[in-house]
Amino acid sequence: MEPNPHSGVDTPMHTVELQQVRKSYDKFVAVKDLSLRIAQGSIFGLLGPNGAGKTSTIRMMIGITVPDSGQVQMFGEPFRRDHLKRIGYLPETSGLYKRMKVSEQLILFGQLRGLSAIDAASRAKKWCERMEIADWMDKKTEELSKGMQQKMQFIATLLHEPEFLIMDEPFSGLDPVNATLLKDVLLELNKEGRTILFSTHRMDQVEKLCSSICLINRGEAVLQGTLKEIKASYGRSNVQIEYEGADDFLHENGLVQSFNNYGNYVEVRLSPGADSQKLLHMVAQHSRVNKFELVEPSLEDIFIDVVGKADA
Amino acid sequence: MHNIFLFARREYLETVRKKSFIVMTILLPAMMFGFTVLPSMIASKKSGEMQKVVIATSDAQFGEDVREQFTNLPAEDNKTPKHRTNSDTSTRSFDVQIDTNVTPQEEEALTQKVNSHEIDGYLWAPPGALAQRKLSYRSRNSGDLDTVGTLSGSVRRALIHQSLSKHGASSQEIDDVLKPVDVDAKKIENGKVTESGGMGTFFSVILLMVLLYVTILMYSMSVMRSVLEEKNSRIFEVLLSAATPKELMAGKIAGAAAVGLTQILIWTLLATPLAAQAIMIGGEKFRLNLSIGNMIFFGVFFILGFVLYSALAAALGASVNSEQEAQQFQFLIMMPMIVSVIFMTPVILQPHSTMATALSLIPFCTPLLMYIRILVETPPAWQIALSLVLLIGTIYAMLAICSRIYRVGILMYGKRPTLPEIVKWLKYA
Repeated sequence: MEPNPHSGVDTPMHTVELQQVRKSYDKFVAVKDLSLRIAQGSIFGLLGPNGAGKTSTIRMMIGITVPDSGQVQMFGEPFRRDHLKRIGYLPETSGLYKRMKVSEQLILFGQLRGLSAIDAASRAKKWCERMEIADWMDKKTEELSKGMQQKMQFIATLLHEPEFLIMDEPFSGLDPVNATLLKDVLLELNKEGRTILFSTHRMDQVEKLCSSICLINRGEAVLQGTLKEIKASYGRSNVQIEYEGADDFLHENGLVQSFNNYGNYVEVRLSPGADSQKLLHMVAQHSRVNKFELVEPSLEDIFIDVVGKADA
Repeated sequence: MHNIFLFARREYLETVRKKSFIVMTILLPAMMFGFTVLPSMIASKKSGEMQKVVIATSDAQFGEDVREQFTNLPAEDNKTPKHRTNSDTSTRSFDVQIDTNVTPQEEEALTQKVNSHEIDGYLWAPPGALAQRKLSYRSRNSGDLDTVGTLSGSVRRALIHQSLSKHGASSQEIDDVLKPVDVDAKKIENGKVTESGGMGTFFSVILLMVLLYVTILMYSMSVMRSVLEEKNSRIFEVLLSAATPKELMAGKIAGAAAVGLTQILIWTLLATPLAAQAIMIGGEKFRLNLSIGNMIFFGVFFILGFVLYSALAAALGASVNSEQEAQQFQFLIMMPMIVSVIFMTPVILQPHSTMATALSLIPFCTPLLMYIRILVETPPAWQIALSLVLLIGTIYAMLAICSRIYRVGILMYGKRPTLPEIVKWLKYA
């Protein structure tokens, strides 16, 4: 992953390329020399615990703030403000004018992105029907439920048909039905060739949707690459065990590096070089084993592992 | 530019559609009407009742003279003659009795009569007091200065009448001597005597000042609140992914200024029939001095003053997190306005003094004080030009500083920034 600012012809095009970007507020360094590349047409996950620097990174990406040092390349060129017309940004917390009518507000957002009022109106109508809030278009925004406002905000980011979508916690506040609706739309947009950036700390969503990720902690990239590569590098080093009886084996330091108790089963991460058969033998001595399965670590485990190590 | 227009239009429509705008548009003129015209209306209505007054004097002829002066002739003291004439003939009416008994017993009896509401008051003028020219009017309401003033004028004229007739002057001659003199203040503008001046000017100055003060203050505060609201609703994150902070701030200020101008326009249209009404009720003193030139200057000073103060208000709104926090700092914005209002009267009275000139050149006071000077007595053109240059220069600097504070502040949540932190914001790229 060597950054190459002159790429374009021979290497695959990158929608975004950050090179050693740094942002500090006073003495606090929010983003520490972060480099990452988001391939065109991919779904990219920007992960990290709360306060890791995800939002700061996104803000620099789209020119809301300017990095102290480093470069932001957008669509293969140094970032310019008119790139914004090709980008849609859904911020984490909904930002809408409360007293404006839904339709008026959507038209305003469309116009800010360079659409004519007529185009913006017809697209808004189409999208509201698709997102099932067409009945609410004449209502004031504050009358909408949180989930509906989230869908409205989502529409506002799509009206100008951006090539690059930035979704900061897009599913927050949505029930499973609406979350699925949103996910389907996003996958559809991705199929059309649009690049999507997810910023989240919800690992399960990332695991389902993203092809590449960058995990950041305390402003630094601690893990990045394709999801496949990352999981493979961790190997099948996890064991899911369903058992009845004593749990002494969980404290066997030579074999168990860490574990996560889910109630119905325990997921154990083996110590490096440990033999899973030894563990099975040990569990079987004291308890009744219903299930013993070697699995790839979930992204959540990797996340906890990496972030936990860094914080230790 | 397109974005500024979009934000300005949004801001304008949202504010104009609010109920508070409609309420304010009606309420403020109503309040001003209430504070100025209504009291004099009420005062004149109240005195429509017959007031019973007794003049207690041993000199029946003197009493007769006072009664004649008091009930028939206009009194001129402390009032403009026209106003007195107007309200006296139409509304004031007195039933004046003469009592030639000035014994202490009668004094006691009259006092009891006042107490029992049989009469409203009595003028106690025994010979000794009359010689010293120290009489007293005794009534339940010692604050009825109008009646006391009228009485004292009447007594004085009655005395002049008496002594002139002793010297053989005819009644006609005496009336000619006592005829009130009407001195009208007229303003000389561009070498010509104009119709405006005196109370008319004073009243227009106060009216326009209140309008300027209230609208600038009200709408710059509304800019602050709307910045705060947008900050708290986190809408800036979305907006900033489409527009620059400068466009946002410019749009907001332009939109609010347009609202202010709309309101002033509505008031001006309302004021025309209202002012006519006021003249009917209150007489000449309510004649407004609203020349085209004055209104153009009003617009110029409103816009400049408004932009200056609302830029400050926008920066304030961006650097705090709640309305409560904002209120602690509002006085910083209001202070120069309040200072301007405090110095309003001295500036009206002496528009050419060094103090008035100096104050009106301070950019934060210019919108109010230079405008007063233009209304009262047009200052030299170079002073107006200098004040405008200074004001526009300050606005430019303030916009540059405030937009920097605004740009950083709108994305800062949580802790309120300290002054050194805000200074640091100014240095951010």
